[in-house]
Amino acid sequence: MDSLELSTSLSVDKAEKKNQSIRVRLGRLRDSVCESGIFVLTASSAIIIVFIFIFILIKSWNIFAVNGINFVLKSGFDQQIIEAYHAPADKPVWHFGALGLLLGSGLTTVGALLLAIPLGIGTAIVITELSPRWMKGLLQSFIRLLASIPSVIYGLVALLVVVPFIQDNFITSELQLQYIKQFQLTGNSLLAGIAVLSIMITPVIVALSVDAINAVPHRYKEASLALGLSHWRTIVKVIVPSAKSGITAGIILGTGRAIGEALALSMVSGGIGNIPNPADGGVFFLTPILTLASAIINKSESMSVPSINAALFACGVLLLVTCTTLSLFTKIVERSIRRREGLE
Amino acid sequence: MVYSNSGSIIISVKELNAWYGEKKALSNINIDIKKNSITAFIGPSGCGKTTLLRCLNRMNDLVDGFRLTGDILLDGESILSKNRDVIELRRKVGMVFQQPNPFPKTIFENMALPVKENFGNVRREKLEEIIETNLKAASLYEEVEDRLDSSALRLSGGQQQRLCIARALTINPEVILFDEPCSALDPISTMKIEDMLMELKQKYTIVIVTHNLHQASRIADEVAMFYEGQIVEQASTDVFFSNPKTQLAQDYISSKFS
Ligand SMILES: Nc1ncnc2c1ncn2[C@@H]1O[C@H](COP(=O)(O)OP(=O)(O)OP(=O)(O)O)[C@@H](O)[C@H]1O
Ligand SMILES: [Mg+2]
Repeated sequence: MDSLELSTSLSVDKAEKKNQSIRVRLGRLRDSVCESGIFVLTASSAIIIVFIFIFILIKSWNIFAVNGINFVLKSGFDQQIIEAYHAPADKPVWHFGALGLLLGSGLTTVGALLLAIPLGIGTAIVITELSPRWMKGLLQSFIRLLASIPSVIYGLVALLVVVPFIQDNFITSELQLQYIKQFQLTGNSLLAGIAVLSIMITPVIVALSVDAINAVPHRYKEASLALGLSHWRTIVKVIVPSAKSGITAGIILGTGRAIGEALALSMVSGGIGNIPNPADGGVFFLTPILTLASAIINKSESMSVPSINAALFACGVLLLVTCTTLSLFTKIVERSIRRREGLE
Repeated sequence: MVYSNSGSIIISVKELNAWYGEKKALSNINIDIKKNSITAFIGPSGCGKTTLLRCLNRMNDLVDGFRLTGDILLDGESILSKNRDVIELRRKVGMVFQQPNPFPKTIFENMALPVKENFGNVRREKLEEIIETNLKAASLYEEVEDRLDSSALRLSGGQQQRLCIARALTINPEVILFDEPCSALDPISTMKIEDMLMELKQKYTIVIVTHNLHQASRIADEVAMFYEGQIVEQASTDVFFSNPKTQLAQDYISSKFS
């Protein structure tokens, strides 16, 4: 009787074990299918990126072959496009210099960052540390909303508000006359570009900084307060420094967005690749400019000319190279901050 | 009062009641803490030891919905009054937490930050001297003297806790509150910290929360036992362990020492 019971229970046990091992094997199979699926997806997106790179490089190859380093050292892009457009088909113009566009991208981006970094970090501090709980959620959803508004809307608002504002407040007819030989002062300018860009990237910086500050362990804050630091000194000396890697990530993401922004800038920045001259004083900021990304939009009507086509792709190469460098740079900065803090 | 025989009183808690929202955490607490002594808070988990400790430097101000009635006097002055400067209070009453909480900065910066923030711009030599003295007081100096510029987060748990103690000493507090400072540490680190506490009480007044009754009996001068938000028994350490008056204390001691 006893032995019978034992043997049945044993066989039940065996069946159970078999079941279990099948389940384990199924589980493993599922895991490996998932893993290889993800691998295939990742690999194919990497391959697509490489192909895009190669495609753009091939398309623009002639430009770099003809101009070499001069492509980034010489200016006069607008004029060259016009020449290339009107050149007879048997004598195409291949000489281009994108220095003006590079400077345009650089100046708008740096200007926007100078405004957006303090504004963004300040706003993030207000949201995380200084507002009551009910307001936090509200402000945070508002910021997310701002970050997701399409850039054409920002461009439109800037065109209707910022550009007329600049025209009414900073530009006089005497000033227009004085510079008429070089460019037309209309309000579409470097300043308008910086304004719209800084409004666009601030939410990005705020959103990432808020996440970074929220991720700072509460015990750092308690430690600091218990050492007699005021709330404000705690924010400045402990909380923000501890969130530095996340805040940096936000800044670099914002930089990427600023460099890559084409639409809003092409609407308000003037559309002509002038190089602003610091000797002009305040007019430096009123100069109409063009950036790499918005040049691709602005000049795309003349893409049917092979050399212009290639020149615009070459602008694309410059953009891709800057953005890739930036994202590599992010990784390096983040790694070094984490190492210094002893987190790695 | 029981303590009329010796030592002047530095902190005096009177009729203290405390709530987290609707939940009452402390009721009718009365206790005096003597200068240059070690007072241990003991009792089962959730009985309010940490809550009282964090009232003493007003760290509970950070907790939403926390409120209290009654009074706490430091050197005879209320620390709860509206116009009391909390920052100045926290400079006088330092705190070491249960989890070591060094900042994610170098050892040197961890020590220098409170000095600079509290005493303004001290000269470099003076700063180094303060840091060295206090690291020595926390018996950490030998272990870290050649790596002051590496991250504090690379230290072991016990070293991190001693760094936090040294850091708390930099601002010259009168009282230091310890919330289970050894609960995350091995026996050797625990011993080091206990020896250090015995040293420190020459200069500072120490209040320590501990679950370890052996530790309390080794280092404390006074013991207060908490139960469900009340202090059920307080006495000098010898009396408390050799001759506990309440049934609760007797049961607690025998359960912990068995
Ligand atoms: N931030 C808080 N919000 C709400 N209730 C809390 C909070 N902190 C503590 N409490 C409650 O107050 C009571 C006392 O907690 P306290 O932390 O003082 O206990 P303790 O004696 O330190 O316990 P332990 O020995 O486990 O650390 C507990 O019932 C706890 O749940
Ligand atoms: Mg506790």
